[in-house]
Formats: sequence, structure tokens, C-alpha cells
Amino acid sequence: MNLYDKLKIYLGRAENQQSKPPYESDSHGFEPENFLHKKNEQIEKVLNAVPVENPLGEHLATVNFYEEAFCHAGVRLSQIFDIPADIISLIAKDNCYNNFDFMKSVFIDTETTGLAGGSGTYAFLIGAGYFEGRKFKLIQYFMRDYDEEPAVLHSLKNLVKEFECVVSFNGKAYDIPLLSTRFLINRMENPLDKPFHLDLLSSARRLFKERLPSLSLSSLETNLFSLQRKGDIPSFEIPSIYFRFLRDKDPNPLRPIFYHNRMDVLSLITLIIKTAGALQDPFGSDVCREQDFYCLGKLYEDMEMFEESIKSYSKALEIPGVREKAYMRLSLLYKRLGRWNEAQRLWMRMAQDGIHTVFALVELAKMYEHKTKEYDKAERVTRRALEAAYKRRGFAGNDSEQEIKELKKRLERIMSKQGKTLNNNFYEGGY
Amino acid sequence: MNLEQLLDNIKTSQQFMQNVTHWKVIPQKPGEYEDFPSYLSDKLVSVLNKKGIYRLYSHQRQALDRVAAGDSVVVVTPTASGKTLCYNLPVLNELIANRNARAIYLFPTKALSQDQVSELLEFVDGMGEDIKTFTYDGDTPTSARAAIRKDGHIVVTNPDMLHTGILPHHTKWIKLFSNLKFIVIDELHTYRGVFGSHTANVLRRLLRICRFYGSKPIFICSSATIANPKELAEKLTGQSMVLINRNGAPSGEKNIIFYNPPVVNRQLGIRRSSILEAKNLALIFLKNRIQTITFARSRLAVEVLLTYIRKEMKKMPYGAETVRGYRGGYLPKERREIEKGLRQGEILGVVSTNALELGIDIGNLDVSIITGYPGSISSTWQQAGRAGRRMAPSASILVASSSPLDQFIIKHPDYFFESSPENGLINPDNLYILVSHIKCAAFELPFEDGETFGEKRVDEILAFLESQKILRHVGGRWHWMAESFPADDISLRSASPENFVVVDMTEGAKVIGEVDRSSAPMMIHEEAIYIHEGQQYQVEKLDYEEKKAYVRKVDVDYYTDANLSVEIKVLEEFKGESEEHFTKHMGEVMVNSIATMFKKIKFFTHENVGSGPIHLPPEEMHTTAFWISIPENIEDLSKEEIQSGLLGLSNVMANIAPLYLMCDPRDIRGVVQVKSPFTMKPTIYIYDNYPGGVGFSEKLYDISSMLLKAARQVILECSCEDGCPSCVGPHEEVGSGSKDFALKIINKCLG
Repeated sequence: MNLYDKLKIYLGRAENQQSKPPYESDSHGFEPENFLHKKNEQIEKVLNAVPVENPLGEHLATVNFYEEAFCHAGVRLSQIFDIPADIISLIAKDNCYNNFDFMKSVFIDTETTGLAGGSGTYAFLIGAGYFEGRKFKLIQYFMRDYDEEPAVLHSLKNLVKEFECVVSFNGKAYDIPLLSTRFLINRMENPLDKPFHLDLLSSARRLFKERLPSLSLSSLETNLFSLQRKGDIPSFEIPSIYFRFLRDKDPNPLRPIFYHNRMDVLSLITLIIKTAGALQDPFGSDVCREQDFYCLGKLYEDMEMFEESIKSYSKALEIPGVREKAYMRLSLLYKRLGRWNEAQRLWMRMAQDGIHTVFALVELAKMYEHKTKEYDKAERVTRRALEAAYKRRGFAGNDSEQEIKELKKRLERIMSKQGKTLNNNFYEGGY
Repeated sequence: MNLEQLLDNIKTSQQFMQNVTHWKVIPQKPGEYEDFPSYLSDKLVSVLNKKGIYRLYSHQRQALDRVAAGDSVVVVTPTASGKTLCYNLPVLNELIANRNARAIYLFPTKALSQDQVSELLEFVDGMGEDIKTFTYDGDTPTSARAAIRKDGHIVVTNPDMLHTGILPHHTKWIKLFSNLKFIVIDELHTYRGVFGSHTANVLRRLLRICRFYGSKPIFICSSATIANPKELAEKLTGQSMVLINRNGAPSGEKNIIFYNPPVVNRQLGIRRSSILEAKNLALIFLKNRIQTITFARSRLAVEVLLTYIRKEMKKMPYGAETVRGYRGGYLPKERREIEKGLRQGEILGVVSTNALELGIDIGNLDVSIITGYPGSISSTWQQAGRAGRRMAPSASILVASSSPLDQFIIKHPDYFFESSPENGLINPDNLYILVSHIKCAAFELPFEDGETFGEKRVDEILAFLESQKILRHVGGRWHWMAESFPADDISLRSASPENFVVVDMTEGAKVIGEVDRSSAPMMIHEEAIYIHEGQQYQVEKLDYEEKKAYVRKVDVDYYTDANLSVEIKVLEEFKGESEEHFTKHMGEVMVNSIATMFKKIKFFTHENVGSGPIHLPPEEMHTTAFWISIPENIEDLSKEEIQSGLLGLSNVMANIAPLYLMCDPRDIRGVVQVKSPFTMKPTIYIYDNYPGGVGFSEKLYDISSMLLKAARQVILECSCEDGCPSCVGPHEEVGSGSKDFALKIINKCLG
């Protein structure tokens, strides 16, 4: 028995029930030249693509121009140039982005042969867009088969080396490492190591994670700019469609993938404009709503824009789901800013309404003990905190044991400052 | 009394000595030393000096010299002979001179990795050098991983992590793979059977990646004593190796005592419990404040022994707390504390599974008691090696259980002391395993036409994978064409990916183990008693489709034994030749097995207390087998008598084969045919119980006469009347007279 037959008997069934005999289906060079030629023509026609030749071979590319007035999801693309620099820094949560220039940015999205990552995943279609003046130009690089990968990467490299910044959605974790791996495996220099990378997933997560159940691009499209795609395809079907194309070379099922990829790139722009709109006028625009104000408060706080942060948190105090967090954050922000009266007012309200009671009482105790030196008040709130901690012990487990220990220590210290001593068993017996 | 006086005392005890089948004294041996080589960095020398080391053992120096000369080496020396220096010194010496160099340390388990890192850190801190050593395994936090990938000079990991976590993401490890100088493989002997065959392929993949990045690492392996360390290391790594096996460490006098508990039931061949005997022996030493380690074979046995010993120790002034247990399942912190206590002498006694057999540093103790033959000569030496002072005498006592292997060993001390230990066998070219790793390798980097994997040409396998739509051949390369991540589906610890999971439903649902597909019908059919870590579980439901068995804890006085009817068909004979009066063969077979019913068998008495049907589809397995065919006319034996004799003989052969193979008894199985359709003669088959085979049958083919002779000895020497589990098997199973018939068959075969 030769090895091939043996493999079929041993492993064939387990691997794939309906497997066809080898060499049956495709492109082993058995087809006559002109047939291949015709097939290629058909692929180009259906995909509206042209062959591109470079020193590393050939691949297909599509080019689409979007004029200045073009609108995606009701938003004019060129509005991106109206965004002030400080807002871009906010979107990136990084002040280094205040010189950010969208003219120097390439917008990237890839379609891949798998979603698991690792060095066996290929990017078979890469969409890369950029502004030429006020027009947006979107090029899609496509490999008709694996042997066209070097050529695709070569073209991509020639394009992106002109740019300073990358804009993507989840590109930091996915597209860019994947492309870097592809360059490395093909022993090519990696052109994607850019000083700036605006990853809109991070931005969206920062702003909308409390409100939206999903932060996928399609969820954001639906929730933020109610885009309805026509003729799109779910991402998880993409790899198997490409594999089928490799075998049968029928380009028609690929069309929705090309469309999907273009939409993804265009949505990057719309997403930036929408997010920018929200940040320019957070309390007026309709993009930021409800739980978003908590996220906004945090963003402003991290960027040390304290007045805006206070305003956002204050709005969030009324919103279910983020209310407790907002109280805590805002009170700590007041404390950080030395606005003790406002902080105290919040803590008292928290203690009264049962919002992070122990935390609030401890903060009050700290203030009375160290700031205002009102030891009697400090003692009183510490005792209340201890009481609350005991009540909670039943369902909080070990954490609250630690908490109780610390509270007792605090109480002892406060009392000794007043010349009293603590009867350790007093509270144990009580609860 | 000190140990010497105590041993003198014991020697005069009639009660003790009547159970001793052998008492061997290995005289003390002085150390062989060499100076530090001139190329060894002063920084290393000064750290060594601080540790009180002023020269090297000869084997350490030899390892340094060979590695310096660019050779890959395998160092084989006993427990506690300073083998870690054999790899730490060359690696650190290189890193001091060349901070770009990188090393991978492979350990079979996570626990051992942790141990190594702390030892290395001590060295590095002592030198004040910025050499970064990290463990990278399933427990490594995600946040730390990027830094390790970039900056780790020494990455300590295990084959499983290399397989799923590192190789498929090799582009994130450019620094490591571009500069990889050393691959250290400790505990080489654990890489055998299925695990070793998988690991050999993981290393083929690793070297393929290294080639891509232009590095050519040297291997430094270290192994416990086995028969074929060089062969195993070469097969595992695909590199030629220099063997370093002359131990330069000194050792004090060693007493090795074989102890066979007295027979309490002659008919059933049952002896007094080895656990109770071990307890008594351990107490003799512990009560005299002599540091003693007691090995037991299961976690449960460890706990039982520990309870017994502590109960007695309570009566002593230094109390029960000076005796501790040690096994998998203890928290790492607790283990470290016990290890330290042992090193510093604060802990007097420890009861352990074979977890302490591997290279965990607990210093040297005075006495080791081995409860039950650990299954291989190699393990026995490892466990015995835990007792052994450099200067003072030590003792090891092997306490036999009633099992055939134990009884063979305890009655044949010569066999133990004179024959070399077992062979570590692997079969990296097992088709199932090989194909799995070719998939992984193609995922990592496309294969090029004509490329080899290991030494093997793989075109046919690649073409097959293309026909399965897993690869695509274009432009002279074979590309991965599937969405899946192949390494995730392949476990290095089993041959087929199709394991059954055992789920304990006693308190919520908890996965407690896995069972190979081929063993599932025997072990986890409904109503089966499944024993895991000494705890009994009953299988309540077997979901065959989902490959899950749901079990619940029970406490019953029986175990279950399934009747497996096995048919074997020879597919291809690889080799065959005539010996004295029989022929031996080796080749590929298809084994078709179906479990039809099971029996409930009472512990100790082996009474049959019930039975039930099993409704499961037959299992097919392709594997390798060794078989012998015997003459049809053996004296005056009838066909039935031949059948009974063959059955008995195959049981004995399968039972004692592990003496030569370093495998578990259930890794191989025996089947007989009174008239084989292939050889047309009475035939005994012994096959590898893993799809594709892992090399056992090939070895058995080479030693067939030896195996038959050993089988004859076992039968002749067994004191039972008409067959027992210690020899041909109980006569209810093999028929009355099997012992006699089997002997006649052997005698005819061997002439």
C-alpha cells in the first residue's frame, strides 16, 4: 500500500467525509492557456478590478474614488477636515495626536482567511484608502491565489510608506500585527510601523462601552449612524467563500466581500466624524446619551479636562447602571481637586442612599481625621462603616474580612488620637 | 541509633530477613573532579565559589567542553549529581559574553519549570548580570507576555506551550528564534511513547522555524538512567548527540534491599499489603530520627500511608508534623515549603508520589522506601537515588506488591541489577502524529516543494492534505487553507484527538480526566467503576456522540472488568524471520474491538458479583503489532488446550513486556488466534494500544526470545496452583491447565 492510499484509509474519513479525489478540482496548470485567460478576464470584470504588475509578481486591484460631496451613512466624508486638533487628541486619548493630519493618514481594513490569528492566517483582500485633496481614494489589493501574496504586499508597501498615520478599527490587535507577520514571513521590510495609529475600536470602547451591548463595527453603525448595508455578508462567512473561490475561481460570491471591505473602510471616516461631533458638543449632539456620560467623564478626567469631566459625571449621577460608579469617580475627582465641600456632600449623600456606603464613610473618616481633624466625627463615621461592613460580611466573603480588619485599625487609631481605647469584642458580639 | 547501627540491627532480625529476597551493598565511591575551564567567566566562578563549589565533577566539565566545541550533548547521571550545572553553566557563560543569545529550557511539567527559574535567578542575581529568565506557560499573565517575547534571554516552558502558544505565533518571537543558541531538554526520559513522539515533531517544527530565522541551536539534554539515552535524544531532536554518562559525583555506601511481604493466601497469590509493610518499615527509621522518603504509587496511597505514619508518630516527642505528604494537587507554596524543610532537615519524613522522582531539589535523604515497583528500572533507580549522602551510607527498600511485574522483579534481583534499564521508545513517524504536526508546520510556514520534515519527505502527506482541502498547492508551495488553528485540536499527551472527557457530577460538573477513544468502551461504559486518583466513580451516562462520560463518586467493594472481543487483521508485514522453532513478525494491523458485557468483581476475593451488557459500537484502530507463530503440533495438545495456553502466554508476555519497554501495562495488548488467517498457524499478537503505534512492537520483535524466556521463568516460579493474576491469569479466564499448556508451548518454541 502506498502512503497516499494509507493516509486516505487511516485519516480520510475522520478529516472530511465528502472529500473529493485529489487534483480533481482546480488550478494545477492542466487547463489550457486560453481557458485560464478567459477565466481571469471574467474575474476582473465581475470584481471590476485590474491586474497590477510589480517586481514581485501580479495581483488584482480595484480603485474607487469618492468625490468631495460623497456621503456615507448621511455624512460627507470631507467633513473630517473640519475636526479641530484638540478633538482628535480626545478621540485618541493622547495629546500627541494634536498635530494629527488626515491627509497623512491611510485607512486600512483587511479580509483574512481565518479569525484565530497566528502565522497561518493570510490577508487576501486589503482595503487602503486616503485623501487626495478632498477626494477619498480607496484601493483594494486582492490576491487571486496564495502565490500573489508577495505582489500584494509589495503594492501595499509602496502605498503606505508615503503615510505617517494608520487609521483602523481594531487594527492594533488584529490587522496590523497580521500584516506585519505577512511581511515578515515573506522576508519583506515592514512598512506599517508608523508613529501614529488611530484605532477606532479603542476610541469607541472608551465612549460607548457602558451603553452599547456590542462594540463591533456593525453595532456602532446601527447605533450611531443607522447605516443599513445592502448586499453585505457576515464576517464569519468570508474565509470559506474565499477558499471556495480558490478552488472554483467563480468570482461572483466575492463581490459582497469587496463591498463589505469598502464599507468597513468608509465607516472608519464616518465613525471619526460622528465621534468628533459628539466630543465637540457632548451635551448637545445626539450621539452621546445616557451611560455614555460616565465614559465621557472618565475620558475628560484622564485628559485632565476637569470641568468637562465634572459636568459629565454630574449628568451620569442620574443614570441607572453607571450611577454608583459616577458617584464614586466624581467624589474622588473633587477630592483630587481639593474641593472638599463638594466631595463631602457627595459622600454624605452616598452614605445616606446606600451607594458604596463603606467607601463613602471611609472617605469621610479620612477627611475628618486628616483634613479637618474632627476626631469625634471621624469616629462616628468609622463606626457606621464598620457596622455596614459587618452587615455585608455574609455575602462578600474574604474581601470584607480584610475590610473589617482595616476599619478596626482605623477606629483604634482615631480613638487613640482622642485618648480613648477600643473594646475589641464590642462589635463582634453585636453582629 | 544511627543508620549504620540500625541496618546492622535489622540484619540480625529473623522476622525481617525472611522477607528480604536480596540485600545489595554498593560501596562508596569517591568523586572525580576537574578544574573550572579557563573560558568560564570569572563572574560565574565567583558565584560558584560563594556556593562552596571550587571545582567541577568530571561530567560537568565534560559537558561544558563538548558544548563549547559546538556539540549537542545528552548527560545521563543519577539523581542529585549536579546535572543542572551541566546546562546552566554553558548557557550562562554564553549569555555573559553575548547578551543577544537566547535559550529555551523545556521541562515536561510546569512545576519543574518554576523550580528551575528560581535556581537560575539565584545564579543571575549572584552575578549581578542583567540576564532575564522567564517562565512562559499557560499561567503567564497576558500582560507579561509581550515583554517576555522581546526581552527574555532564557525562556522556560514546556512542549505543550511551545506547540500551541509559541510556534504558531513565531513572528512575535523574532528575537528568540533569530538568536536561539541553546535548547535545553531536562528529564529527557519522560519524552517517550505518545508524548515523546509528539514532542519529537514539535522539535522538528521548532528547528524548521529556526532555519527560517537563520539560527542553529545546540541541544543540551539531561536524562535519568535509561537503556538508550543517546538513541532517544537523537530520535527526539533529530541531531547527533555526544553521550556523557560517566558520573563524577561522589557517593556514600548504598544499601538496596528487596523486600517481599509474606504470602497470606497461597491459592489466590495474595500477599500482605505493601502499604502496611511500607508503613512499618518507614516507622523503624523515622522513630530513630532518620530522614526518610516513602514513595507510593497513587495519590490515594500517599494519603493513606501518611495518615498511618502520622498516627504512630504522634506518640513521638517531635510529633506528627515532621512527616509531610507531597503530590500533585498540593499548592505550589506548600510544596516549596516542604522542599525547603527537607533540604534544611526540619522535615523528617515525606510520603510522595513519583512527583519527587523528577529533578526537584530536596537535598539528599538517608532512606527511601519504595512501595510497589514503580513500573520501570529507571524510575526505581530515580526513587532509590533520593536516598544517598555524598559521604555517609544510605538505604533504599523496595517493597513488592502482588502484581506480576512486582513479583518478577523482587524474585529476580539479578535482572534488576544487571540488565540495563528500559528503553525509552518513541515513533516520531507515527502517521497520525506526523500528519497532525505537518498540519501545524504548514500553518506556521508554507512547505516548499521537496522540503523535508525531520529527515522525511512529505510530498505525499501534503498532497493528501490538499485532497482534504486543508492545504493548497500553488507556486511551488503548500499553503494553509483552513480557518481553524490546528494546534488547538492536537494534544501532545494522547495519540488521537478524539478523547472522551470524564465529568464528575457529584458536586456540580467538573472534568476530572480523559480517556483515549480506544479505551473508552472498556473503562467508561455505563455502570463502569472508573477509578481516578484512588477515588471510585460510577459512570452514570456515556454520551458517545459528544464523547463525554458523566460519573458520580461512589464507595463500593468491587471493580468492573469489561469483556472485549478483539479481532485483528494483518494489513502489511514489515519484517519477519524464523527463530528457533517459531517465526516472529512485525507489521501493521487493524484491530477491531467491541465490548459486549462487563463483570463486577469483588476486591481481594475476585468473586464475580454481577454483570451487565454494554451497548457500544465497535472501535477500529490501525496500529503496529508484533506477533509470533508457533508450530501447530505441540506434543499432544488439543486445539482447545493450545487456545488456553496461547491465552495464558499472551497474558504473561503482555504483563512483563513493560520490563523492556518503559511503558504502562495498558500501553500494549495481547490477542491470540489458534489458526491465524494470515500465518495459518497458532499466533500471539501484541500490539501498541495507540493508533499508529509508538514503537513498542518493533522493540518486542528484537527481543522476542528474551521475552519468551522471561515468560517461562514467571510461570515456573509462580507458586499458584492453576493460574493467577501474577502469571497466566485466573483460570476462570484462561481455562484450567493454562499454566502447563503455556509452558509446553514455550518449550517447543525455544527448542
